[in-house]
Amino acid sequence: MRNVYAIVIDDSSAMRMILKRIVTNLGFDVTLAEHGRDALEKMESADHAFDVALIDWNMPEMNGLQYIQAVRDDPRYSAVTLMMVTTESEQGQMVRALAAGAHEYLIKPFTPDAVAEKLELLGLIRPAYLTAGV
Amino acid sequence: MTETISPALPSSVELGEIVEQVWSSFLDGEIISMPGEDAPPAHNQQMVASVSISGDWTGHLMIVTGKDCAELIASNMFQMEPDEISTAEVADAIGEIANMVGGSVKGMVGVAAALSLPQVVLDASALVNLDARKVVSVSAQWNGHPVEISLWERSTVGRSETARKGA
Amino acid sequence: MPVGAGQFTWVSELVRREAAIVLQPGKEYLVEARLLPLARAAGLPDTDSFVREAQRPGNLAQRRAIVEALTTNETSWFRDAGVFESFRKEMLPKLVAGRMAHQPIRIWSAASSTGQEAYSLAMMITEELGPARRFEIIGTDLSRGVLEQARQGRYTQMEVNRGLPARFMVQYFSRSGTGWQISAELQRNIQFRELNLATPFPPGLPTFDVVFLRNVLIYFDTSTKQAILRRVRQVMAPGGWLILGTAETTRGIDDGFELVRMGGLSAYQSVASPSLMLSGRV
Repeated sequence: MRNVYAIVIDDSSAMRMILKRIVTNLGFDVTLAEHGRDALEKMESADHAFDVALIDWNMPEMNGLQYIQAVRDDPRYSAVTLMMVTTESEQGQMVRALAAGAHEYLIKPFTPDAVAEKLELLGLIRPAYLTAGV
Repeated sequence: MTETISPALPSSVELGEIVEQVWSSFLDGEIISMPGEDAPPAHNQQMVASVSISGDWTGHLMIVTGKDCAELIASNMFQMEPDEISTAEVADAIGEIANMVGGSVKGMVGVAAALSLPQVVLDASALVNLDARKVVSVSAQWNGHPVEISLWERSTVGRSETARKGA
Repeated sequence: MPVGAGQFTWVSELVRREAAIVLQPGKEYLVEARLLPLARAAGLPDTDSFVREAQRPGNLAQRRAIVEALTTNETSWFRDAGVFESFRKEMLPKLVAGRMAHQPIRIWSAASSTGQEAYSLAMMITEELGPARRFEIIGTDLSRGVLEQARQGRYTQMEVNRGLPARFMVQYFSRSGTGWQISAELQRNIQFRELNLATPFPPGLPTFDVVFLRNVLIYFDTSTKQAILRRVRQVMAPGGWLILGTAETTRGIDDGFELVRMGGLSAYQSVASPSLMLSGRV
């Protein structure tokens, strides 16, 4: 199976390391970015397309909502799956993010299982029982 | 003076639940909260991480702990030995913990408000007095270290400042 | 660092032998996530060291701890997303085609724990068929504690983070203190009852079009498994389906079922019942 490419966008280096560990354990190839603009630059210069972005909301320079809008406005990135990973936990905020084009929404704090289950919902992890005949 | 808006601030038990969820997700070892008790003073340099909530309710969420505890928190999050971690990384780690606790508090308070980026003060003796009063607090122990988590309410100004920032 | 290949193979052999749970390649992250806290508690730096400790002769306590850590009841929403997707795409249209609009679809969530499976089904059916479509879900469990939480429908922030699609969280949940409350609209179609699968079922159970009995049989010995499957068959509607866990089968336990594959879903139908009514359309 080909590599799954993820970009983790969070202004906290501690949170970037936590998410990097989790998605690396899931077998993904991970790029890290410190805010929305940094992520757009890294996507622009990468030699591969990205399958999924894990996006914090509150960040300097360009926040997660603005990043989502920028990605949705760029036809080159129409195949990127967008998942907010944020401490913003009001339903109104979830509605805003989904309306802007986010595909999923995970609230901080989270466990590694919670990240894996959301990625499975998004079809980015192929469950083991489908790859090997039971 | 009482304000017209009465947000559902967490009780200290609820604040303790929020803290426990953040700790159990990212840090090894149970955090034991003792609601209603005052934190014993940390016996070394105090560090403060805070986030501000600004909007229909305005205040701060603060986490106060000793330097060695903050280093252990960072060591857990980065999965590195404490002596390999820079001061900036320690500040980042406890700032992110404050961000998650503050975000959960903002979510349950149920008013329209914005969360600031975390601010960390590495030596709390340098901290100027906030124009706010403590409304809820939890004193806790983690791996033998005291940690105090508190919610502060700003009483007067702030409203018009917020309106400008939120535009 | 994910768990090493040799350690993973040893751990999957262990849980297969001790608990009949199959951990296929790809579940390394699960092993890592569940065993790392045990390693830390034992003062070891990583999962591999902990597994190597457990491999030494006589270290039965560590082995038991590994089995328990990997067999703890999961309580996520839409557990095994592919199963729910196939239920929606393949099974639900057949259930609708097989009956009149006013006849309710009846589903049993057996060993329902804190209710996530039952509510997940209710959300999916409502989204797919609209709120007017009648259905009834019965969730049963042995434990009064989990039944009480299931009836209340109140979940912590950590619980709603587990596999619940954001669109459903927005639509069917509201804040309740530090946690979340599921809507009365969903609760209307669901009942939770106390029931022990291992003893004869109480009277008054309806017949079910679909029975979800996932990851439950693994806890019982062969003769109890046979008795449970026999009793389940008696409360299944003609042409009804039984859904087991993704690594489970009726093969070798009960010959009265035949396997029907629907996408990612393995469903079993009773061969003793006239199944042509529904399966004739497959």
